[in-house]
Amino acid sequence: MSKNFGESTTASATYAGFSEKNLEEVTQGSIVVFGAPADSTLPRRSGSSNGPKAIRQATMNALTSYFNSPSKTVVSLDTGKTRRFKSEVIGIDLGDLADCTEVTTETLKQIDQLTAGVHDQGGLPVLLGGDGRILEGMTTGLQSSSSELGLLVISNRLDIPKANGLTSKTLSSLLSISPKSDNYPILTIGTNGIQPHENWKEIKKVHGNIISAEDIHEQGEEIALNAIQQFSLKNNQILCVIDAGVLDTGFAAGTPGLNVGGLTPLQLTEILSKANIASKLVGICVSNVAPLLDARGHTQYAVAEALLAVMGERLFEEI
Amino acid sequence: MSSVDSILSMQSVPSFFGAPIGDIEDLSEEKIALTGLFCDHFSGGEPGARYAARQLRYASLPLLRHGQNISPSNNIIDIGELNVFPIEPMKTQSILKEQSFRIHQTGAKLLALGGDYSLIPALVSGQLKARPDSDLKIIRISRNLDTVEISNPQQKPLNRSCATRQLGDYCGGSKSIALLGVSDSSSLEEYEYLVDSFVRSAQQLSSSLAGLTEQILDGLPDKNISFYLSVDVDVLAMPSIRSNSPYLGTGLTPKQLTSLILELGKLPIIGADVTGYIPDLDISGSAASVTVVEIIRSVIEAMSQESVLCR
Repeated sequence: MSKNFGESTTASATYAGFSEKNLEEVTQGSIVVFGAPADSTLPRRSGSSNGPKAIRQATMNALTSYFNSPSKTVVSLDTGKTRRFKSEVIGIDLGDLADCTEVTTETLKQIDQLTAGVHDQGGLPVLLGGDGRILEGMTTGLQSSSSELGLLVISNRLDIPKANGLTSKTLSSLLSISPKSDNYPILTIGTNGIQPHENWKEIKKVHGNIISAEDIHEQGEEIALNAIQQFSLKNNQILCVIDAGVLDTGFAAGTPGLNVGGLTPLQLTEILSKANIASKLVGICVSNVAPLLDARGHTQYAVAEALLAVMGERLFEEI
Repeated sequence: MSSVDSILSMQSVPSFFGAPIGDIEDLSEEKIALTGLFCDHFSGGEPGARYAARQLRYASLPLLRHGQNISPSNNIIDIGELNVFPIEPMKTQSILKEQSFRIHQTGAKLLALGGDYSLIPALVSGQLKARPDSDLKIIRISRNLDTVEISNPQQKPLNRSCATRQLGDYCGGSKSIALLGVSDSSSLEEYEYLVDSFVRSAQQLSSSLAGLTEQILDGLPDKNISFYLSVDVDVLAMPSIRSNSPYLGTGLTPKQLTSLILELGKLPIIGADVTGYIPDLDISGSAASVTVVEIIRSVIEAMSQESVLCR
């Protein structure tokens, strides 16, 4: 199986100023970013094909304070703490999958192979979407090359959407490993709206947990943090999914679906920055950013900050 | 009904708050000269701020017509746009300084609206030239510090990232600067430049404004002191409006910002600007304009107030 995607990727501004390299150059411990600009299809709104580019740009803007500093260090006026962006981190941006306009079986296969390739070489794959359906390719790729993994899904949905003849799938069906009774393979945070009962049942069946957006609004971020802590104790390898759809439409309108009553961007970044799961990450999938649907451009900034927050100690250090 | 019989309803040429349109010879002491800056950045950020003044003129008219409580003081004059050379930063810097100098020579206060913050040091430079005896201090309300070390100012004369540092250099160093509403995450080296300055984050200001002006005055000389107020709408928290700055999640509400500006009105403010607003990014085409108009109204009020803390 060929894992050389160097010829089939296209790139614009790189993620966080990472070097633009090929898959062969991935080394142990590196953070490897690649995009899948697959658009959403009806009945969801289109526009997520611009997601990878917008997330890269927004990340550079979110890091402006660090890049303005010769020592890549920022200071917090409120806490007095200083934080440095680790320039020495090996970051690689492979670019975007070429000829990827919608999610097809071929797209999922490419994502699968690329994810597995990065993981095999010791890198942390970070997939920038693209429609939420791309998650299937990433989970397949990771499971082909690693042992059990836990799925931490920050999303308003309990499934991945249908696309181009590919039917909708429950999150639990993405895990090929049969769950044991003491496992805790799935945790979803921020679920909102009407979800098919079958999806709830499937997650509960595999001993997963669901923390809804309403739980967080009513009981605070602590309920999500406690759940993530428990989840982290049971899983040494975590695939984190950040679906922009988890954000309330009033704060972030640039998503293929609408979400009234979702999380605020501050809730999302607070949860992910305090979750402290960076060392256990085996992959990150960011999806459903449709920048042109958000005239104010907040969606990509919120997601960019959430992604930086979850990578935490891999990218930053407290001084 | 024939066209002759119809009642013609004519709208006046748009000006800021319907203020009389004038020129430099109409200015005198006690007047506030409102002017637009039709010029974008010469450094980073998104373009479009050059349209702010035009949009704000249009946006302020319906508010007047519908009787909302935004009637400005009667000492304002709209003197149109300042001349600029949009693709020639050196010439723009020079001509802005000269125009600012001539306006301030009349004794009027200048309020510059729209355009990019990188243009403001040129205006302050002209103000200092016209009033060499005044001890001018800067109050900057912004999310960003903009105190990057100035490298090669001849090659990059108008650069936003070092504009506040430039203002400090013109006014006697970093002690002359008060920075309000800054982001919680600021570049270490930029912050170190401001170690002797009065700096407050948006979160700190959100809790209380009590005693703020007295704290700003603390440690400053007693006599002949005056202030230049620079307001960047990037200080607003989302989802208020989008401005020429990345969203970082925190900031002031419009109400908190106007309250802050009115609090600063206790100080003698002799010049001001409101920048950072890009009309093209306004989600509804008017919501942000109305917000910024309200902010400008509070700036005019602050400039018109009798300074109670003037020593």
